[in-house]
Amino acid sequence: MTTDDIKNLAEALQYGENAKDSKAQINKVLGNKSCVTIIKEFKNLMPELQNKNRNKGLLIVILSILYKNIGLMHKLQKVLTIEGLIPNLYGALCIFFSGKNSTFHLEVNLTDSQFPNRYDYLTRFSGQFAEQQKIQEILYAVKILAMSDKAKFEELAFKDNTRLILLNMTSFQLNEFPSDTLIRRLLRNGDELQANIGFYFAVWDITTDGHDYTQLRLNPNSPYTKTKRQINKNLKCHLETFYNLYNCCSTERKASLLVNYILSERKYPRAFGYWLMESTLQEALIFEITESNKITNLDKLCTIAHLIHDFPCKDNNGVRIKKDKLYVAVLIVLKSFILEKKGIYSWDTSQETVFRNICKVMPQRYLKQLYKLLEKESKNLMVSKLDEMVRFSIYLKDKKHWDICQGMMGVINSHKTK
Amino acid sequence: MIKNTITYKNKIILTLYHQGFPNENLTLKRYRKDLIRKNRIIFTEEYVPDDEWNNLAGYAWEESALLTPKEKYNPYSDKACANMVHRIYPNKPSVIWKRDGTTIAEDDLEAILAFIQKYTGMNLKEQPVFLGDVFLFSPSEFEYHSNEENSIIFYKLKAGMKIIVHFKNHYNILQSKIIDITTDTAELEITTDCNWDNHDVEIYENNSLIYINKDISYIRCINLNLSIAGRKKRIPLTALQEYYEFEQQQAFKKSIIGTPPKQVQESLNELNRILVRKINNLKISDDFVFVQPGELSIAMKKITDIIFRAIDELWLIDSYFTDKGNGLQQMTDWLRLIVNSNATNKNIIFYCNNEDKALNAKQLKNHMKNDPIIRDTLKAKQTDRIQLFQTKSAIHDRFLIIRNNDEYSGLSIGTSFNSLNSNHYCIHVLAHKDAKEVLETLYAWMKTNALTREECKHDN
Repeated sequence: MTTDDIKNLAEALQYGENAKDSKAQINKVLGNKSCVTIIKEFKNLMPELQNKNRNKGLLIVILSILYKNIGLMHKLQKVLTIEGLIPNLYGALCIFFSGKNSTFHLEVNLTDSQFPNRYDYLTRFSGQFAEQQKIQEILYAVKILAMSDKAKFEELAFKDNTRLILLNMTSFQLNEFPSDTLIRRLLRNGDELQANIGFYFAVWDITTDGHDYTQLRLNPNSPYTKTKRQINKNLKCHLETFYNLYNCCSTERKASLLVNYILSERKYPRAFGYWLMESTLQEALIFEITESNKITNLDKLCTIAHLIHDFPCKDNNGVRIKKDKLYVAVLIVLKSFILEKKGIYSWDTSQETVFRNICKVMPQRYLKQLYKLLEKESKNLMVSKLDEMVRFSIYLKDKKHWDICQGMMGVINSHKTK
Repeated sequence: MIKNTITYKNKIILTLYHQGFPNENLTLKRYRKDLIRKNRIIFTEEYVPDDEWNNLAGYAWEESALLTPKEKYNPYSDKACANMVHRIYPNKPSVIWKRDGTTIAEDDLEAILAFIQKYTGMNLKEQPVFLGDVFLFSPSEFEYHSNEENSIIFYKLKAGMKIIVHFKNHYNILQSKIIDITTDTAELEITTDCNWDNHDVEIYENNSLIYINKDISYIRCINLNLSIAGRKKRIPLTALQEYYEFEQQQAFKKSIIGTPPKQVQESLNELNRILVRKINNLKISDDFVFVQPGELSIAMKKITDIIFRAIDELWLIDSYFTDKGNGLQQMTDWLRLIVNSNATNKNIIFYCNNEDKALNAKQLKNHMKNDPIIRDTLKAKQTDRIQLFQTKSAIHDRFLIIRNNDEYSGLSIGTSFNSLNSNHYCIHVLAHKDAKEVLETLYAWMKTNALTREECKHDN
């Protein structure tokens, strides 16, 4: 193997769009040699390569072997371990995933910033974080590292600027569950996406318990269904483990992660409700309700309103404190839905039911405030017969909004009389 | 009555009254505001007693008419006919037209008219002279539609009405039906056997026309061509930019909603479209001329037409105008024509970085003074001046732009004025907005790119 061969392999891998050309060029360089021979040949070539190119060259060779035959992963892992090249692989992957090298990196544009609730992003696109065909080889190279040195793999996963490694871990494409150390690091020091990935793993067992409950409710007689006692026992144990991990987060992060989970999963252990309603988290929870843009519809607001209603707010001494500020936060969101024409886009029976459920738990004085706003807003809308005839496009928009205001006023009115 | 007013820069520029709407007296006073270049424009709606209309004064005369649904300033547009009383005020608001003859800037006018249409439904683009006037409208609305059997169904007709329907194919009347309504009728079906594609409706009450609408057609079939946007193809580039991406054509999926026309009819329609397109392809555009060597007279006609239309400003922009060689004679001829133009302000923009190859500003000035025709013309028109701007860098395209009052026009010419007889080139006519944009852009560019400026005039 020569330096020119490495260049040719790198070129072949860049073809990307044209898989046939890539394969032909790789075959031309590697021929029928076994992966053991190729790696050994590369090791012999290493002294001739510049220091900075050794690790990169190794990764190019590994990717080429995997491109030729993905089934060689286990063999490749063995030979790399025997030849002592795992640290070089780690070095190469670190450069590759850091995105700092202009010619040796993976360009990924994630859409997670469009999701104020990053947990939603994880669950919605689970398993689709990259076209597997395109990054299959690089993920297998990462797998080789994971199989050989878990500590280094987790270091790489944390440092990865593309976030692809962690994202593919959430969908178990890498068959790796992170250690508690990595989870804690993600929760405490990671950015928002990383923290939510950490939370995803921290809460994994609890989510599974939730699914067990559902299974028990739907198929109580199935041999695979656990008993309620079993599930409760598991949940108690899982909550303890979870609490130890969760407790390393800052107050703001605790509120953010719990709100994300509750809004995304809808079903949550009661312990989450008690923790989120602790007085120390109240300010952070108000921020999550009013400022985070996570509450995008009545359904989500209903979940939060019921959480506020169902769980007590206690201070450090266990004394109950008022929840007014939290109800005001819910009211602020409802007002913003009306004034900014968002969150409720049409009025139908399902919206009416959800809003009725919100009204059930909201104190009357806040409903009165909302009613006044709805009344004022309705008066200013262009929904008369004249509006329909001379300014139809405005009428169409306003009519929809008017229907929403009237629908909400109707529900508040009916709620008052009951 | 419901009163709508539009106020711009604190002046009322349009007033409308609407009559005949349910619960008029419950109308709340409301405003909608917007800004047109920092100037406030306000729409107001309120309920006023009928006396207000009766007591209006100051108008020169009034006109009454039934506006059809197709009339652009019918506020009810295609929903109803409008009974209109139009009171004309010859003294227009000063924000629109001043006594010295100046009128509002076109951009502002367009924005005002768009605002008016948004809130009043009146499209005044063809009648902006109505600004400042007062209107009274009441709708005359009828509900009708066609059904699958090709009949037309009318609703809520009163005794004493007469309905006339003309069933048509294009402009040809296939059949007319006249029906007198003797008792109040909730629903009336007018049937026909003919194969019509549009119809007219006239409704009379007490022998007066109260509703008319023409060429009414219905969508009976929608042909949808759907394609999913695929991945863009990327072409790597070297100098222009890093790469260019373009959408790859995907196969279309056709779906038809409703009843399609008969195959034969559809083929004939398609054939007709092709033949009409061919006839239209022959139309010559007045805004474009392609000139070949030896066709100088064509270019001369286009250019001199502009030169002698100029009243206020004339700008000749040609970086290679003063290039030495065979072109100098042609340059002199153009200068002779330009000095004779009536434009008060004449300007020539050119470029010279090598005095062996082109005249600089001073040389051009001397050249002009040495030409007897130019000299004599300048002597005859003693107040006339020609500004000569020599620029630091060249502009590729050539332009001739004039301004008369606040209206611009001009030409974009593909070759230099001194080689109009020896090249293949195009002349494009620039409309007001384009000519203004070119001149304003180059004017800003000149602030940093003008090297020297000379003024050529008659010296005593």
